[in-house]
Amino acid sequence: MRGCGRVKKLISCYLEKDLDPGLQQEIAEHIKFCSECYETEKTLKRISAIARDLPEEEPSFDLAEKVMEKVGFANESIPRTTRVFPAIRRWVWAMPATAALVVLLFLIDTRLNRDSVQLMDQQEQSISQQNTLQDQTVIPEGPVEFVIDNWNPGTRSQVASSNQSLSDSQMLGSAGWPADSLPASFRMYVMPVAQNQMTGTTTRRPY
Amino acid sequence: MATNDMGLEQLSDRQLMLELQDGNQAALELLLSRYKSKLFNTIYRLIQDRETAQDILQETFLRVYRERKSYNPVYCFSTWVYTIALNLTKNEMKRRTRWRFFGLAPSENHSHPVGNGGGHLGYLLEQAINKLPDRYKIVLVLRDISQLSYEEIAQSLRLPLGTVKSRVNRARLMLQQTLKPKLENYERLWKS
Ligand SMILES: [Zn+2]
Repeated sequence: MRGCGRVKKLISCYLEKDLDPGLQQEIAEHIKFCSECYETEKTLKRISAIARDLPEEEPSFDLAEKVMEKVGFANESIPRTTRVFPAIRRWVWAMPATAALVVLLFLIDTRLNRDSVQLMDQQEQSISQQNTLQDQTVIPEGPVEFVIDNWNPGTRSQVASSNQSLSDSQMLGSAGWPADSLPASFRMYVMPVAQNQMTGTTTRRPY
Repeated sequence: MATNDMGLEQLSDRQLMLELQDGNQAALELLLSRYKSKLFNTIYRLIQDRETAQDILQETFLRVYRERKSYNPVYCFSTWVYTIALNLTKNEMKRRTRWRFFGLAPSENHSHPVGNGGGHLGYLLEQAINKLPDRYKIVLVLRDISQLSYEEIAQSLRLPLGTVKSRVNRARLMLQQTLKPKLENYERLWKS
């Protein structure tokens, strides 16, 4: 029906009777004859009723006590807190621990794969090349960014310059990973570390 | 301005803030008791985590105390306190979005799942609200759950009134699309 788009733009104001009387009337007329807008109005009224019926959540009874205690204790100078809320804090330990575990498993797996490939190829040269690369590994002290241009343990990767910033998808695209098939945390943290371990190169990104 | 505690209860929020500016800490306690429930409910509906909502609320009132001198009594206290609480809440929501991106979002403790408190319909609504993009979720919760006026929302979020109205409308239409089939299913089951 003509005018449905306009009605949808104004339907909240219409339901709250917040329109000029002429416009209010016009929309009421439209809704009377338009089944789609009639259904929309009906559902919106229903949702509004459910929202009103949601129970009011209450804070713990000792909130005031805690606040007043802090105010009284610090009085004029309550330190500005740049804190992590507890719900997040609970997760902080989990990230490095999980990453470390997955990297470990990955490395074991990689080592096994590499050994078998090398046995098949019988190429002494590739072994010595890897040894050289391992010697060049820089141990990062701060946050690092890795860019791997080829998913091949035997190929030396291109290292991003320290001021070069690449997006997640660029990093993944250049690495040739099936990016969408892995969880975000794995893609962001574990993959670059594991890839780096395989090619033996890192670069430190300044803070 | 020496007012005894009995007298304090008769004072408006603005007057209590003036008392607080004059060093009367009892005024803070009273403001807290007036606002803690509605603020907690708003923050909780946006964050869906009791513990974090509690922390944000606590931090809000610590800031009210710390920033008491910067409060201008020309303005409404409720708008001022909502602005503080919502800024903290929005930061937390952003932080959670980032963590979710890394696949490490903290668990959301729904206090009343199916069949409790708001009932199954309430649960469906909460789920649908949580799926809204943050900018829509915030205005919808403030308008339809916290029942703030459009003007109050606009002032608290420092957004133009027109933007708030159109976001609320958009958010309701998004909810309507998500919930329509679920509500119909629920009604069909209920009838049979
Ligand atoms: Zn229509």
